[in-house]
Amino acid sequence: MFNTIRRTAALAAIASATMFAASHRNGPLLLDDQTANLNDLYVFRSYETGKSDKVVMSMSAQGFQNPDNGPSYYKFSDSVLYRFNINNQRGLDGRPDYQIDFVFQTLLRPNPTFVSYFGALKGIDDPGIFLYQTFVVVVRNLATNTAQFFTTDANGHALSVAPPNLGPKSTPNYEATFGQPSVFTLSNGWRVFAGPRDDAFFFDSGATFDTLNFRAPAPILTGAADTDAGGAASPTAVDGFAGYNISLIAVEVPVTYLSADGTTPTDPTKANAKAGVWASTHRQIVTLRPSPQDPIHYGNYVQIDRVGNPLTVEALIPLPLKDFWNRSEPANDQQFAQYIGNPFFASGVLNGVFGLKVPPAPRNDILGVYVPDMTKIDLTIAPTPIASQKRLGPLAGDNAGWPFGGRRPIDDVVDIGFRALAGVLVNGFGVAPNNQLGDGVNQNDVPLLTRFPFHAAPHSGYKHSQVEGTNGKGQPTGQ
Amino acid sequence: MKLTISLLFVAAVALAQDRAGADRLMQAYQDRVLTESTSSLKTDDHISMYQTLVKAQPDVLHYQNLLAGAYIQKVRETVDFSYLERAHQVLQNVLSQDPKNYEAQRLRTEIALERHDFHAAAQYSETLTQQAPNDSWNWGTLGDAQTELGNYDKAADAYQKMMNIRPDLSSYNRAAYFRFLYGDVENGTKIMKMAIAAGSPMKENTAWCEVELGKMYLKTGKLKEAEDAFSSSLRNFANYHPALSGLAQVQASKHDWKSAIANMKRAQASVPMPDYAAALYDYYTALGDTKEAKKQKEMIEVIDQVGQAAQEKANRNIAIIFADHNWNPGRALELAQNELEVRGDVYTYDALAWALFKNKKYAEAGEAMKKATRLGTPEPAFYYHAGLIENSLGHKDEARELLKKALELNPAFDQAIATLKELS
Repeated sequence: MFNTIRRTAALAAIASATMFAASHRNGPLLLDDQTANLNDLYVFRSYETGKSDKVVMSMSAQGFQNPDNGPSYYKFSDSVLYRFNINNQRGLDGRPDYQIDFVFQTLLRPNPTFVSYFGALKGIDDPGIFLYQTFVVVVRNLATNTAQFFTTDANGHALSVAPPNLGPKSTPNYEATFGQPSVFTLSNGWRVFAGPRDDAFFFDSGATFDTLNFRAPAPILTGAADTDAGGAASPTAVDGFAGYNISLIAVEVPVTYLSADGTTPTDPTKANAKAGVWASTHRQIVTLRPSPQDPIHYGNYVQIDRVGNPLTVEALIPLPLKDFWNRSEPANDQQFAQYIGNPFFASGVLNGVFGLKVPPAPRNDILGVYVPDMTKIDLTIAPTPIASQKRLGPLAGDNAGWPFGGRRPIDDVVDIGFRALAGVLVNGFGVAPNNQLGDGVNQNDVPLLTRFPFHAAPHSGYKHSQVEGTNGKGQPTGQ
Repeated sequence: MKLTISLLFVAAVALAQDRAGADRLMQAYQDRVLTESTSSLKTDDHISMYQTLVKAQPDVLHYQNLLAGAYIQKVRETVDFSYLERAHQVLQNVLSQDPKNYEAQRLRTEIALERHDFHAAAQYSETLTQQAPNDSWNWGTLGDAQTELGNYDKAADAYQKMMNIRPDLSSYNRAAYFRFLYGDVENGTKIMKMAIAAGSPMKENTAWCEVELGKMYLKTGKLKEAEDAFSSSLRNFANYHPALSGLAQVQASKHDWKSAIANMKRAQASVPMPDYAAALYDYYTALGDTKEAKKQKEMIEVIDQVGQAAQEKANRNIAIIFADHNWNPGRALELAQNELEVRGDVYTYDALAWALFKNKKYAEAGEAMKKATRLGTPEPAFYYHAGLIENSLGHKDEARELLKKALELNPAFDQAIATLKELS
């Protein structure tokens, strides 16, 4: 009998539930919006054999994915519109001229299990892929107000998202069986890819987080430590992004698509030589009340996040303005010039903490790159073959990298950024130690691909979970 | 990579503060870093981490706000209101040192909502929307308070502002609910699915939306879809009590009493809500297990006694349970009438109408029921209650129509089927 139960204990348990047991609708309020978060944008002339007349654009979303995040794994959000924005007219004023949209749809196939993928999967059409995502590509020309829709590839195959790399039993020979088959050629000849990949970003975040406790010789890299690529600058530096995956959306287009007049540009001084690109995420407004006067139930798309150059929000935009910045358009970035032109990182950290001499504000060198905030690519710069690519890009004479030749996965944007903020692009500041700054990690943990989509295959869940050893870090992916 | 570059600034701040003094802006950077780098942790881990930070740096009020926020999330997950008290104390401490602290004010609104102090919550939110009109959070809490108060026009305006600033899980789930309230089931479910697709790093948040979707399906007789939504919620957030309860209700609709009991008991073990005990009473009674049913009834009585001892006056959930079972109609009416002082939404008027009906105050019950059904909310129980009230008022035809409407929404509504038979 309940009445005879020792009251005190029972009452204590019940009391808290009953005090406000008459429920109300306590809908969640978000602190963080992961599915619409973008991480990095890459734009570069393709260095794949025979593809030098192409430009690749890719965006990464949902960083720090644990490869073993079963049973559901990561997926693209059906509620988010992922967009590449391209500006190639009017001297690159930050207004979009073309847009390429990716919209995803999830199909949950009949599933007898609690997991999203099951069995030894044989390919991208295996029915064991219970969580099956497809996407539509919409190519918009804002000048002519026209749009082309692509729901399948040129052969009529659905544009499907690559499944996650579970491990050698479920997804054997991942890259050949699942990665490359998920590269689709559209009827207009473009190639597209969407799915999990290794995060090509590399950075000694752990050392930096420990109050700038860089592992020697970082943060001053000299001689052998300041490698072009290959080999770590400091043997003990740790890539905090090693072993983690991101969700990548990539598209390969002809150079002529990006140029202002549709021709292959050859003269860097001509108006058709350059294009600016940024990525954004959007969600649709819905109206709360249907009314006879306003029959529109679903309204405009609202921008949630955007990314142009690396480091913008982190190093240049003050936090209280972050949401406002994310909602705003690059065309209006002049309103942030007071912050971008006088970065705290340069005055407060490089000068204030390390005592480096940095150029005085306003920093027109920084403003030139970040206002408007787009990754700008000079289409007349031929791609550098992979063997000759330099991690420091233009700072090391390899102009096909960030910030002038777009941005490639190999580009060490942290070190380039440190040095650029220290003023190496300003006359008289390209001196030691300003031009020697670096975090100590000079390359990605796994080799990048030499073909589209260039980001390496995702780390497998199986290897990530292993107890002894590396958590999959640094191990080749995709076998 | 956007995320961890910002970690750099934690370090920068630590160093810069020694040299140049604290900079408010830089402190804000720490906020983002903490939020982003901890978003995948479990709530208990958040709590212990923030407790450590608060102990280490008691003068940083920001850490106390983060701790209070984690306590409030814990209340969401467990309905353990001792965490609400802890959050309250932390915020009191922050506001006593810095009465204008924005984050603390935002969280104070949430506490007011959890305590059903909807007038205060509306007032707090109103003030904050003036201070920070571009923060969608404040429009959300304003809409929540106005919804409970029954001021639906004001709620819609606030929610629409929230939506226009940022369509995401938070604003979509409120829009979906609003559509449902006004009888638009099709768009209500569609928008709730958008909320689920938008997602949140807090698994409970997505699971919560899946429960809401499941409830919409359950109320409109779509048992298979409801079951899928509740099951999906449980996959997202294991042992989530409202999802277990939802699943039990689906099973009860199919008269699978044993499964229903098993799931409802799991929900009850997690949080001893009176609604769960009442459901279990019904399921055991249906099975003919009067002994177990009696235990559940006693549990509800104990819950009410505890409430009375704590001088709880308003509780529409218990009012409905008592009225449903013809237990203590007087107390049911008292609880429902007092609830009306707390809020004036359609659910409160339904509880009041039902309690009035059980006290044979039919004319008053009819008046209250009109207010409950004024939006056309597709709640089968509303139409069942309305049907019985109209019948008592001698309006047989109307009564039959209302019961048919209840069954149109939910064909598995046993009581409505039985009553309609009696009236035909």
